Amino acid sequence: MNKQPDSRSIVTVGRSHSRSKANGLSLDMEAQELHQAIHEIPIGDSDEQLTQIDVVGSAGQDGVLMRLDHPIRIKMEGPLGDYAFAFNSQADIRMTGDVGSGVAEGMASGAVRVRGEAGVGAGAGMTGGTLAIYGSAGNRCGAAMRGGGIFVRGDVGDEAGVGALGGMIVIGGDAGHNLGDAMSNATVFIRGAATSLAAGVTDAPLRKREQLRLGLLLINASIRGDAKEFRRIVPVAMLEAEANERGELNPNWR
Amino acid sequence: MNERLDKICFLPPVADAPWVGAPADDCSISIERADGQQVSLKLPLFWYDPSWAEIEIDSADAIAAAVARLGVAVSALRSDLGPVEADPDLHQIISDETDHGSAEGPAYLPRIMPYRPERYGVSDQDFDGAAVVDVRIAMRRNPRGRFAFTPEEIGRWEATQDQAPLAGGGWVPAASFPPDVDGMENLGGKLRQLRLLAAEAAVFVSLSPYRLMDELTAVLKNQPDGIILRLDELDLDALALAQFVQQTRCMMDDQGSGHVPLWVVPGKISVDDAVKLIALGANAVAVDSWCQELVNEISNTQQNASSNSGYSPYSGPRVEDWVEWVDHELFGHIERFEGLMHAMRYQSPGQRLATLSEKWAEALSLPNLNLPYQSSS
Repeated sequence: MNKQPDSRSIVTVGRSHSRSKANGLSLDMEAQELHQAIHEIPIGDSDEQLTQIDVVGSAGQDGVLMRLDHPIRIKMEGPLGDYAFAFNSQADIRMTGDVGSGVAEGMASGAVRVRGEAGVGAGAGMTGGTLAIYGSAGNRCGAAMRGGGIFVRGDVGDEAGVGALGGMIVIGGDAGHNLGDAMSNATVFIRGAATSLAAGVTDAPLRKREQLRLGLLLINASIRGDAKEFRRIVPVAMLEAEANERGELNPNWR
Repeated sequence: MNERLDKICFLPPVADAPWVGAPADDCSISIERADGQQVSLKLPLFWYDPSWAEIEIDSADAIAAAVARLGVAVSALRSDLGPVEADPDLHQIISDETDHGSAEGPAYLPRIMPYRPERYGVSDQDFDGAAVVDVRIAMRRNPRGRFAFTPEEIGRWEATQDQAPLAGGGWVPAASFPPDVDGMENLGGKLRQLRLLAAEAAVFVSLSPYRLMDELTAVLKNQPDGIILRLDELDLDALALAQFVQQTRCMMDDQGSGHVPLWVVPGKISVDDAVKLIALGANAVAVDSWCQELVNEISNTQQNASSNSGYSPYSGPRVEDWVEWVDHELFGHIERFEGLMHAMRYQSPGQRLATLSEKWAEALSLPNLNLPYQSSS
């Protein structure tokens, strides 16, 4: 998808609880104007009443809505190209349709919910926030993530979580080859099967506290399922440290 | 400082050249992004791969800014030089032209943002004010021989509590290619994304020289704003270094990329070597060997001060002392560099270098000054 991101988008602004075109504002603007205009929208009174905008006309574009840093809810239709919502903070984005490579790359906080499929490297280098994909994700999902959570309702491709230093990946379906390669403090929860686990990681049952934590996270991410159906994938050395009751505070896994 | 390219000499103008004024232009370079925007740098010199984790974070920031103030573009992330939420000196706005009614944006010190495949330590603010975003592909071996990041590097980038090091306190394997790019043929999309994220930066790709024919060709198809060639990864003799630079430039010209800048990381070089590499076809040269001496000196002093701290209240030089020392050490190098670059402009590009070696003359197509005199009698 190579359409340039300077195409025009139409934005409808309103309150999340009373949104309508009748009482909202409809604007037709370039990508850069859109970015600036979003940051000028007044912040809502609470999380429950985030100001909501609808963005239409961005389908097929690359690099959509990157580097947003504003507490606002955005609804939009896809499909979108590569690197949508990269390096965002605070924004709560809900989109319908597929996304290309690198969705939510480097996201620091906020949320991105994708009702569709994601390409390679979804959530690469994330440091915080939540990325929820209600379809499947390609190879290297959660690569090098350092924090935050990724939820994939369907399957993930090969090398999920490669090089992840922190954070959590929840996989509702199956995973491809080499799950958890070069992973350190990150945790993977998987409901289906992995074609292969990377050297140095193993699967283990969830402990009680993780079941509770995962259950809440699944509810928050609007993903159906019981936490008991999941297993966790962890570095072997981390598991040994737990078994030796050294706890998780001072791991040295390599 | 040993000169590697001492077989090459600078060629002055011919004896009966008319007296003309000195060339007016300075050493500054201008890079054109693929979207047409210009990026200017004061000097064609850069510090490619500083080992920031070897020295204390305050010293790192101080010498990074001191080197950049001399006009050398310095590669660093915010997390290399300061704790989270800090505003390192290297990253600060040095003048805000908008205050004076100019259309120009704020000015920053010349800075390269290293964009490694792993993106450890990167924050979105790193894009602001960067002159160059350096998309590093192909693994780079660290000084201890591994394709991995040291615990000290990870600790600097992802600083957490001492009791809970994020990577478990061990080595973290390095990647070769960005995990969110689906193959080399799609690298252009990543470069376009970075041009949007760093609106005033040129987006370069840096690569190793091992499979140069294949990899350089593939990278150029993705239209980077420049190429950084890491020749220091090979143990090249002087002639091979010169040939690599000259031939890479030819290769780029032949592939219709004559306008794309070629920056080289040559390893240990002298000031004269840097100018000769530019005359051979490089557009900018890494001076890591000059700057690493500063890091080594500071690192040794800080380690000694640390080991002696139980016996003496002296904790080593202050940050201001290092800044003064950097100015003193580098200023002379840069002054000679500018002088040689200036003098070289008296000659057209093909007539700036010569050699006394037949082998070098043949290999580099340079004039040989050592032709034996053939008597006619």
